[in-house]
Amino acid sequence: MPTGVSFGILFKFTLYIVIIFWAIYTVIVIYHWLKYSHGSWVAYPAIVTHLGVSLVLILFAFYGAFII
Amino acid sequence: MKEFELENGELVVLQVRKHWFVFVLELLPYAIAVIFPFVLPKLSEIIVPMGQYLEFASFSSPLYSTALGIWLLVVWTSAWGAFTRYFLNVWVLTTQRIITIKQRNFFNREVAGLLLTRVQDVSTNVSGLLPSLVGYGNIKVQTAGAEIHFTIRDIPHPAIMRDLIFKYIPEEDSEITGV
Repeated sequence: MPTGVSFGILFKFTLYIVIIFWAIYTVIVIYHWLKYSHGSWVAYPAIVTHLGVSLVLILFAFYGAFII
Repeated sequence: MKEFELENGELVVLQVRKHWFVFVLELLPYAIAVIFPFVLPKLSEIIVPMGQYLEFASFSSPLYSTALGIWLLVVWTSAWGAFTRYFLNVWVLTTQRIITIKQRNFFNREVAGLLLTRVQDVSTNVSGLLPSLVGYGNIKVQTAGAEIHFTIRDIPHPAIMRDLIFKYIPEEDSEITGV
């Protein structure tokens, strides 16, 4: 590890980068669901489930990151 | 349907996706990736060279919680993307056409149609133990003239789809194909 950079800082930085990519990817996939699922009832539960599960995982990751 | 317009009197007969079992098989790598971080602390106890990481690879470690959260978020999002691609890949049989909608990747979508009047032969192929047990297979649709063929892969009950295609081939072509 370079001087002054701890694993904690590295993990926090990684977490922020992953969340940025997650947000972009999620927007793209939601766009595809809304545009191409032809109004299927599956679209909204799929989107809500993804956002719910992701939120739990992000909070879990942040929980660890804030204790570090 | 917004991606293709139905003609006057044209109706959607059947809409199929790959068999759910095929999708479950596609999810296996993601399932293994989910299990891996839960097995890692046990492995670090068993495997001697990994012993130095024992302190880190513990659920009580905040560092491990963050790493686990990041890992699971990446795996979950990837699996959700796979489900989206599975759901957006669809074949539609109408009273006049077979339409294939392929979502190869995001922003890479292909919609193609084949008129039933051009269909010369339809064959099904259920090959292998799992496809036979679970009940999925391929349909190959061949057209007259330009030797174009159209393969619909891993759909449930391909024989039913084949029979429906034959049913909706217009009468004059039925005589040529012998149906």
